[in-house]
Amino acid sequence: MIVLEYSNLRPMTDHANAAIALRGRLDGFLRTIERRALRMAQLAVGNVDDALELVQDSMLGFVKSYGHKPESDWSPLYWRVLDSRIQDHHRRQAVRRRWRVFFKADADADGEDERDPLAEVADPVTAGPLDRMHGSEAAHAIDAALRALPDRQRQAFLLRIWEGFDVAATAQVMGCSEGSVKTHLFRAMDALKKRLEDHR
Amino acid sequence: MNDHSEAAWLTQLREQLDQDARDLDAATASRLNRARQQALDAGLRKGHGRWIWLPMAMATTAAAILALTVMLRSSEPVLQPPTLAAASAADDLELLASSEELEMIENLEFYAWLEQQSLDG
Repeated sequence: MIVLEYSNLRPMTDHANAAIALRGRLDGFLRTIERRALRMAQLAVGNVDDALELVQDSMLGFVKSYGHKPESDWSPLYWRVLDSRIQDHHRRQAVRRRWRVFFKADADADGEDERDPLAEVADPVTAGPLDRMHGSEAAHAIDAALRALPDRQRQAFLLRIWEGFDVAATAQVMGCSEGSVKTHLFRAMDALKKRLEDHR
Repeated sequence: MNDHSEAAWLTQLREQLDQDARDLDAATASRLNRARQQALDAGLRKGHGRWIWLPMAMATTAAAILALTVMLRSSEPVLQPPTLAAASAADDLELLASSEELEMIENLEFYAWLEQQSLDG
Protein backbone atom coordinates (compact mmCIF):
# COMPACT_ATOMS: atom_id res chain seq x y z
CA MET A 1 0.00 0.00 0.00
CA ILE A 2 2.75 2.39 0.93
CA VAL A 3 4.64 1.52 -2.24
CA LEU A 4 1.56 2.26 -4.38
CA GLU A 5 1.06 5.64 -2.76
CA TYR A 6 4.71 6.46 -3.25
CA SER A 7 4.65 5.49 -6.91
CA ASN A 8 1.53 7.61 -7.45
CA LEU A 9 3.10 10.61 -5.81
CA ARG A 10 6.45 10.42 -7.49
CA PRO A 11 5.46 11.70 -10.97
CA MET A 12 3.75 14.66 -9.34
CA THR A 13 6.86 15.39 -7.28
CA ASP A 14 9.06 15.12 -10.37
CA HIS A 15 6.73 17.45 -12.23
CA ALA A 16 6.78 19.97 -9.38
CA ASN A 17 10.56 19.80 -9.19
CA ALA A 18 10.84 20.31 -12.93
CA ALA A 19 8.52 23.33 -12.71
CA ILE A 20 10.57 24.82 -9.89
CA ALA A 21 13.79 24.21 -11.82
CA LEU A 22 12.34 25.81 -14.96
CA ARG A 23 11.22 28.84 -12.99
CA GLY A 24 14.71 29.15 -11.52
CA ARG A 25 16.35 28.98 -14.95
CA LEU A 26 13.92 31.49 -16.43
CA ASP A 27 14.40 33.78 -13.45
CA GLY A 28 18.17 33.59 -13.89
CA PHE A 29 17.94 34.31 -17.61
CA LEU A 30 15.57 37.25 -17.16
CA ARG A 31 17.82 38.70 -14.45
CA THR A 32 20.72 38.75 -16.89
CA ILE A 33 18.84 40.72 -19.54
CA GLU A 34 16.27 42.78 -17.64
CA ARG A 35 18.32 45.93 -17.09
CA ARG A 36 19.50 46.07 -20.69
CA ALA A 37 15.93 45.41 -21.78
CA LEU A 38 14.69 48.28 -19.62
CA ARG A 39 17.35 50.59 -21.04
CA MET A 40 16.45 49.59 -24.60
CA ALA A 41 12.73 50.07 -23.93
CA GLN A 42 13.31 53.42 -22.26
CA LEU A 43 15.33 54.67 -25.20
CA ALA A 44 12.46 53.59 -27.47
CA VAL A 45 9.48 54.98 -25.53
CA GLY A 46 11.08 57.85 -23.63
CA ASN A 47 9.98 57.21 -20.06
CA VAL A 48 10.61 54.65 -17.38
CA ASP A 49 6.97 53.81 -16.57
CA ASP A 50 6.06 52.77 -20.10
CA ALA A 51 9.44 51.04 -20.42
CA LEU A 52 8.82 48.96 -17.28
CA GLU A 53 5.39 48.01 -18.56
CA LEU A 54 6.88 46.93 -21.89
CA VAL A 55 9.59 44.89 -20.19
CA GLN A 56 7.09 43.13 -17.92
CA ASP A 57 4.78 42.48 -20.86
CA SER A 58 7.65 41.12 -22.95
CA MET A 59 8.80 38.88 -20.08
CA LEU A 60 5.28 37.54 -19.70
CA GLY A 61 4.94 36.90 -23.43
CA PHE A 62 8.33 35.25 -23.54
CA VAL A 63 7.67 32.97 -20.55
CA LYS A 64 4.23 31.95 -21.83
CA SER A 65 5.22 31.32 -25.43
CA TYR A 66 8.86 30.29 -25.28
CA GLY A 67 9.71 29.33 -21.70
CA HIS A 68 9.61 25.65 -22.65
CA LYS A 69 11.99 26.10 -25.61
CA PRO A 70 15.68 25.16 -25.35
CA GLU A 71 17.64 27.58 -23.20
CA SER A 72 20.08 28.31 -26.03
CA ASP A 73 17.21 29.88 -28.00
CA TRP A 74 15.98 32.13 -25.20
CA SER A 75 18.09 35.18 -25.90
CA PRO A 76 17.04 35.86 -29.53
CA LEU A 77 13.48 34.87 -28.68
CA TYR A 78 13.27 37.30 -25.77
CA TRP A 79 14.67 40.20 -27.79
CA ARG A 80 12.28 39.33 -30.58
CA VAL A 81 9.35 39.58 -28.17
CA LEU A 82 10.60 42.90 -26.75
CA ASP A 83 11.18 44.32 -30.23
CA SER A 84 7.67 43.27 -31.20
CA ARG A 85 6.20 44.88 -28.06
CA ILE A 86 8.08 48.12 -28.75
CA GLN A 87 6.72 48.22 -32.31
CA ASP A 88 3.21 47.48 -31.01
CA HIS A 89 3.59 50.32 -28.53
CA HIS A 90 4.48 52.76 -31.29
CA ARG A 91 1.62 51.53 -33.50
CA ARG A 92 -0.85 51.91 -30.65
CA GLN A 93 0.40 55.38 -29.88
CA ALA A 94 -0.03 56.31 -33.54
CA VAL A 95 -3.58 54.91 -33.56
CA ARG A 96 -4.45 56.75 -30.33
CA ARG A 97 -3.07 59.99 -31.74
CA ARG A 98 -5.15 59.50 -34.89
CA TRP A 99 -8.34 58.88 -32.92
CA ARG A 100 -7.59 61.74 -30.54
CA VAL A 101 -7.27 64.08 -33.53
CA PHE A 102 -10.52 62.67 -34.96
CA PHE A 103 -12.49 63.23 -31.76
CA LYS A 104 -10.89 66.61 -31.09
CA ALA A 105 -11.81 67.75 -34.59
CA ASP A 106 -15.33 66.51 -33.95
CA ALA A 107 -15.54 68.38 -30.63
CA ASP A 108 -14.13 71.55 -32.20
CA ALA A 109 -16.72 71.35 -34.96
CA ASP A 110 -19.43 71.20 -32.31
CA GLY A 111 -17.94 74.26 -30.60
CA GLU A 112 -17.47 72.31 -27.39
CA ASP A 113 -14.67 72.17 -24.86
CA GLU A 114 -11.48 73.45 -26.45
CA ARG A 115 -9.28 72.47 -23.51
CA ASP A 116 -7.22 69.37 -24.10
CA PRO A 117 -6.72 67.71 -20.68
CA LEU A 118 -3.93 65.59 -22.14
CA ALA A 119 -1.94 68.74 -22.84
CA GLU A 120 -1.94 69.48 -19.12
CA VAL A 121 -0.50 66.12 -18.10
CA ALA A 122 3.18 66.29 -17.16
CA ASP A 123 5.49 65.25 -19.97
CA PRO A 124 6.73 61.76 -19.09
CA VAL A 125 9.83 62.24 -21.25
CA THR A 126 11.31 64.71 -18.80
CA ALA A 127 13.94 63.51 -16.39
CA GLY A 128 13.00 60.36 -14.50
CA PRO A 129 15.16 58.19 -12.24
CA LEU A 130 17.07 56.77 -15.17
CA ASP A 131 17.80 60.22 -16.56
CA ARG A 132 18.90 61.66 -13.24
CA MET A 133 21.40 58.89 -12.65
CA HIS A 134 23.48 59.88 -15.69
CA GLY A 135 26.31 61.84 -14.20
CA SER A 136 28.45 62.82 -17.11
CA GLU A 137 27.93 65.06 -20.05
CA ALA A 138 28.98 62.22 -22.34
CA ALA A 139 26.31 59.95 -20.90
CA HIS A 140 23.66 62.60 -21.56
CA ALA A 141 24.95 63.10 -25.07
CA ILE A 142 24.88 59.38 -25.85
CA ASP A 143 21.41 59.07 -24.38
CA ALA A 144 20.11 62.01 -26.42
CA ALA A 145 21.79 60.78 -29.60
CA LEU A 146 20.28 57.30 -29.25
CA ARG A 147 16.83 58.68 -28.49
CA ALA A 148 17.01 60.90 -31.56
CA LEU A 149 17.53 57.93 -33.88
CA PRO A 150 14.55 56.50 -35.77
CA ASP A 151 13.24 53.37 -34.00
CA ARG A 152 14.51 50.76 -36.43
CA GLN A 153 17.97 52.35 -36.62
CA ARG A 154 18.18 52.42 -32.81
CA GLN A 155 17.06 48.82 -32.52
CA ALA A 156 19.54 47.67 -35.16
CA PHE A 157 22.35 49.53 -33.40
CA LEU A 158 21.50 48.25 -29.91
CA LEU A 159 20.95 44.64 -30.96
CA ARG A 160 23.99 44.49 -33.22
CA ILE A 161 26.50 46.61 -31.28
CA TRP A 162 25.32 46.33 -27.67
CA GLU A 163 23.76 42.85 -27.55
CA GLY A 164 26.33 41.52 -29.98
CA PHE A 165 23.98 39.65 -32.34
CA ASP A 166 25.36 39.07 -35.82
CA VAL A 167 23.57 40.55 -38.84
CA ALA A 168 21.49 37.40 -39.51
CA ALA A 169 20.32 37.11 -35.90
CA THR A 170 19.57 40.85 -35.71
CA ALA A 171 17.49 40.52 -38.88
CA GLN A 172 15.52 37.65 -37.36
CA VAL A 173 14.98 39.48 -34.08
CA MET A 174 13.79 42.60 -35.90
CA GLY A 175 11.75 40.64 -38.44
CA CYS A 176 13.43 42.23 -41.47
CA SER A 177 16.05 41.37 -44.09
CA GLU A 178 19.79 41.35 -43.47
CA GLY A 179 20.10 44.13 -46.03
CA SER A 180 17.69 46.26 -43.99
CA VAL A 181 19.73 45.64 -40.85
CA LYS A 182 22.91 46.75 -42.62
CA THR A 183 21.18 49.88 -43.93
CA HIS A 184 19.68 50.74 -40.52
CA LEU A 185 23.02 50.15 -38.83
CA PHE A 186 24.98 52.24 -41.33
CA ARG A 187 22.58 55.15 -40.94
CA ALA A 188 22.55 54.81 -37.15
CA MET A 189 26.34 54.82 -36.96
CA ASP A 190 26.54 57.78 -39.30
CA ALA A 191 24.01 59.80 -37.27
CA LEU A 192 25.66 58.89 -33.96
CA LYS A 193 29.12 59.85 -35.21
CA LYS A 194 27.84 63.25 -36.29
CA ARG A 195 25.91 63.87 -33.08
CA LEU A 196 28.68 62.64 -30.80
CA GLU A 197 31.54 64.31 -32.61
CA ASP A 198 32.40 66.42 -29.56
CA HIS A 199 32.44 63.44 -27.21
CA ARG A 200 34.83 61.20 -29.09
CA MET B 1 37.47 57.70 -38.48
CA ASN B 2 39.70 54.67 -39.06
CA ASP B 3 38.81 51.10 -38.00
CA HIS B 4 40.81 51.32 -34.79
CA SER B 5 39.28 54.55 -33.58
CA GLU B 6 35.82 53.40 -34.62
CA ALA B 7 36.26 50.22 -32.59
CA ALA B 8 37.41 52.27 -29.59
CA TRP B 9 34.45 54.61 -29.99
CA LEU B 10 32.01 51.70 -30.15
CA THR B 11 33.61 50.18 -27.06
CA GLN B 12 33.11 53.48 -25.24
CA LEU B 13 29.45 53.53 -26.29
CA ARG B 14 28.94 49.93 -25.13
CA GLU B 15 30.59 50.66 -21.79
CA GLN B 16 28.37 53.68 -21.28
CA LEU B 17 25.25 51.67 -22.08
CA ASP B 18 26.42 48.90 -19.73
CA GLN B 19 27.02 51.43 -16.97
CA ASP B 20 23.57 52.97 -17.49
CA ALA B 21 22.02 49.52 -17.23
CA ARG B 22 24.04 48.62 -14.12
CA ASP B 23 23.49 51.85 -12.23
CA LEU B 24 19.75 51.62 -11.80
CA ASP B 25 18.39 53.47 -8.78
CA ALA B 26 17.00 51.27 -6.01
CA ALA B 27 13.35 52.13 -6.64
CA THR B 28 13.50 51.28 -10.34
CA ALA B 29 15.47 48.10 -9.63
CA SER B 30 12.80 47.06 -7.14
CA ARG B 31 10.02 47.72 -9.66
CA LEU B 32 11.93 45.71 -12.25
CA ASN B 33 12.29 42.83 -9.81
CA ARG B 34 8.55 42.88 -9.09
CA ALA B 35 7.80 43.01 -12.81
CA ARG B 36 9.95 39.91 -13.38
CA GLN B 37 8.33 37.98 -10.54
CA GLN B 38 4.83 38.88 -11.73
CA ALA B 39 5.69 37.87 -15.29
CA LEU B 40 7.02 34.53 -14.05
CA ASP B 41 3.98 33.94 -11.81
CA ALA B 42 1.49 34.72 -14.56
CA GLY B 43 3.48 33.12 -17.37
CA LEU B 44 4.03 29.80 -15.63
CA ARG B 45 0.52 29.55 -14.16
CA LYS B 46 -1.27 26.51 -15.53
CA GLY B 47 -4.28 27.01 -17.76
CA HIS B 48 -3.51 30.65 -18.29
CA GLY B 49 -6.19 32.51 -20.11
CA ARG B 50 -5.19 32.93 -23.74
CA TRP B 51 -7.92 30.59 -24.98
CA ILE B 52 -10.36 31.68 -22.29
CA TRP B 53 -10.04 35.32 -23.30
CA LEU B 54 -9.91 34.73 -27.04
CA PRO B 55 -13.67 34.30 -27.65
CA MET B 56 -14.41 37.29 -25.43
CA ALA B 57 -11.84 39.43 -27.26
CA MET B 58 -13.20 38.32 -30.64
CA ALA B 59 -16.77 39.09 -29.59
CA THR B 60 -15.76 42.53 -28.31
CA THR B 61 -13.83 43.31 -31.47
CA ALA B 62 -16.71 42.16 -33.68
CA ALA B 63 -19.18 44.27 -31.71
CA ALA B 64 -16.93 47.31 -31.92
CA ILE B 65 -16.44 46.88 -35.68
CA LEU B 66 -20.19 46.47 -36.19
CA ALA B 67 -20.93 49.59 -34.12
CA LEU B 68 -18.30 51.58 -35.98
CA THR B 69 -19.54 50.43 -39.38
CA VAL B 70 -23.12 51.37 -38.49
CA MET B 71 -21.93 54.74 -37.19
CA LEU B 72 -19.91 55.49 -40.34
CA ARG B 73 -22.68 54.32 -42.65
CA SER B 74 -25.37 56.27 -40.83
CA SER B 75 -23.53 59.49 -41.63
CA GLU B 76 -23.67 58.68 -45.36
CA PRO B 77 -26.89 59.65 -47.18
CA VAL B 78 -26.37 57.04 -49.90
CA LEU B 79 -25.57 53.37 -49.43
CA GLN B 80 -21.92 52.88 -50.38
CA PRO B 81 -19.41 50.04 -50.40
CA PRO B 82 -17.13 49.73 -47.33
CA THR B 83 -14.73 52.64 -47.28
CA LEU B 84 -11.02 52.77 -46.71
CA ALA B 85 -11.75 54.69 -43.49
CA ALA B 86 -13.95 51.87 -42.20
CA ALA B 87 -11.32 49.29 -43.06
CA SER B 88 -8.64 51.38 -41.40
CA ALA B 89 -10.80 51.86 -38.31
CA ALA B 90 -11.39 48.13 -38.13
CA ASP B 91 -7.65 47.55 -38.36
CA ASP B 92 -7.09 50.08 -35.60
CA LEU B 93 -9.60 48.38 -33.33
CA GLU B 94 -8.10 44.99 -33.97
CA LEU B 95 -4.67 46.35 -33.19
CA LEU B 96 -5.85 47.98 -29.99
CA ALA B 97 -7.72 44.82 -28.98
CA SER B 98 -4.87 42.36 -29.41
CA SER B 99 -1.67 41.78 -31.32
CA GLU B 100 -0.86 38.45 -29.67
CA GLU B 101 -1.99 36.20 -32.53
CA LEU B 102 -0.19 38.32 -35.14
CA GLU B 103 2.99 37.98 -33.14
CA MET B 104 2.60 34.19 -32.97
CA ILE B 105 2.26 34.06 -36.77
CA GLU B 106 5.30 36.29 -37.24
CA ASN B 107 7.30 34.13 -34.89
CA LEU B 108 6.68 30.92 -36.86
CA GLU B 109 9.22 32.07 -39.44
CA PHE B 110 11.61 33.08 -36.68
CA TYR B 111 11.34 29.72 -35.02
CA ALA B 112 11.96 27.93 -38.31
CA TRP B 113 15.15 29.96 -38.60
CA LEU B 114 16.20 29.03 -35.07
CA GLU B 115 15.66 25.35 -35.81
CA GLN B 116 17.72 25.70 -38.97
CA GLN B 117 20.50 27.29 -36.93
CA SER B 118 20.40 24.33 -34.51
CA LEU B 119 20.64 21.86 -37.41
CA ASP B 120 23.49 23.79 -39.01
CA GLY B 121 25.27 24.15 -35.69
